[in-house]
Amino acid sequence: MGAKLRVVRRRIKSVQSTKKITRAMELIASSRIVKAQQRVEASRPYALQLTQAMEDVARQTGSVAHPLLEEREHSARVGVLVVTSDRGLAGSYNSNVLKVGEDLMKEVRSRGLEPVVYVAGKKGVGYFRFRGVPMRRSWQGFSEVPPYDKAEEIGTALIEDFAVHEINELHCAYTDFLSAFTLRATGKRFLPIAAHEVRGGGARGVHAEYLFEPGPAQILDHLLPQYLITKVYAALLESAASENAARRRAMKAATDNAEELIKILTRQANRARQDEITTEISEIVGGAEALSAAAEG
Amino acid sequence: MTVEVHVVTPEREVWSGTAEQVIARGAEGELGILAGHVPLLVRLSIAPLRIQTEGGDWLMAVVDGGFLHVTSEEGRTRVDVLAAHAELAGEIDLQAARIRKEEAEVRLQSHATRLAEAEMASARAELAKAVARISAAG
Repeated sequence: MGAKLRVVRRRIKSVQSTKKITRAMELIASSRIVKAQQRVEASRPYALQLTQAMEDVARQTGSVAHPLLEEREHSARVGVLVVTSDRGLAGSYNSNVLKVGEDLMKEVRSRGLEPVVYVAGKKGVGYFRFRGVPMRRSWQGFSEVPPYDKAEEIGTALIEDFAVHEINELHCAYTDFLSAFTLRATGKRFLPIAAHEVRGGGARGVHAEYLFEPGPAQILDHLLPQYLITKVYAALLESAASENAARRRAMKAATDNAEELIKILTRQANRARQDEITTEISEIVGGAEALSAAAEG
Repeated sequence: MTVEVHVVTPEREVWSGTAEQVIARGAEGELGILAGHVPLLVRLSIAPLRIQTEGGDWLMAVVDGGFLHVTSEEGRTRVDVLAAHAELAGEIDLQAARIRKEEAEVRLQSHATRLAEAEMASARAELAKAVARISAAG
């Protein structure tokens, strides 16, 4: 076998095994998108009911006051929570959400305030560490299947920092899973909780006999942190679904490219093989002619 | 007259259906909810939750705190139980709960003098969760 043919065949083999890997990752990501979507769906009833309970408190008591709802006038430090993935190979997923995070921080600085960075996901941690940006807190190791306990841990830490005025606002950069083909990295304000979120749009009347146990204020004390944790959990779940959708898309592109490359390389291999045969035939024909010429002479 | 009951956690809907009554332990004591109850919002303790289903059978579950919300719409009473974690009696791992209880007890006893307030509270909550599970499953 000629040298050229050998080289091309080796490349085909290597591209083929890469294709097998990317194809497997594509399939795994596809099945995880479905699971992640189911988790998003499963979390909705709780979030909905919690919001309704909160709205009931707001409606029954007329006006609500709580530290988590308070717009602070003198806010020097603003928290930015960036939700990224633990693993790469997800196309532009991480760079998109990190860009939103950077934009949020830029906006904070333009108001003359100091951003405080919180990061979820290994990729985000690596990004900020490389750039020497100090992180107040970071969490990693659960980006694909975020458990509720982690959301609770993150939410509790954020509320603590908010309570001691370490941060006076909190924004979150995460990726919204609109559909398997439309992912949108967005920035949202999580704290203080906007008054319109609590009041809601429902027009149910005030019920004279409504009971609260303990009082509405104490209930709110538990409801509002729970509400924030639920929002963090939703952001983690949306991001997890998006991560898998982005990975599936990236791996599909890689598989398609590998197929294309294999096609081109196969043509090259065929041509090299054809050339080799042509050379061999002309050598044989040449040799035979030389022999017959010698016999005649 | 029955009530519509939904027991939900952030991760899943644990149980939903119609029931005769629901008995839970609120922050200020036990309470039973029957059809026609006035609107109510209660903070729950870490405790067993009992639901009497339509046939009269009792369904046991456990909730790690959370809220119980009673609303009524057009005469129908609806009870929502919202908890960070909740399990039906059949889902409880009794063995794990016993181990959890022992560990929490050890933590409370051996370090009672040295533990910070927050750690004490978390150990007590752990103990309460384990005890509630054992009593709901038993």
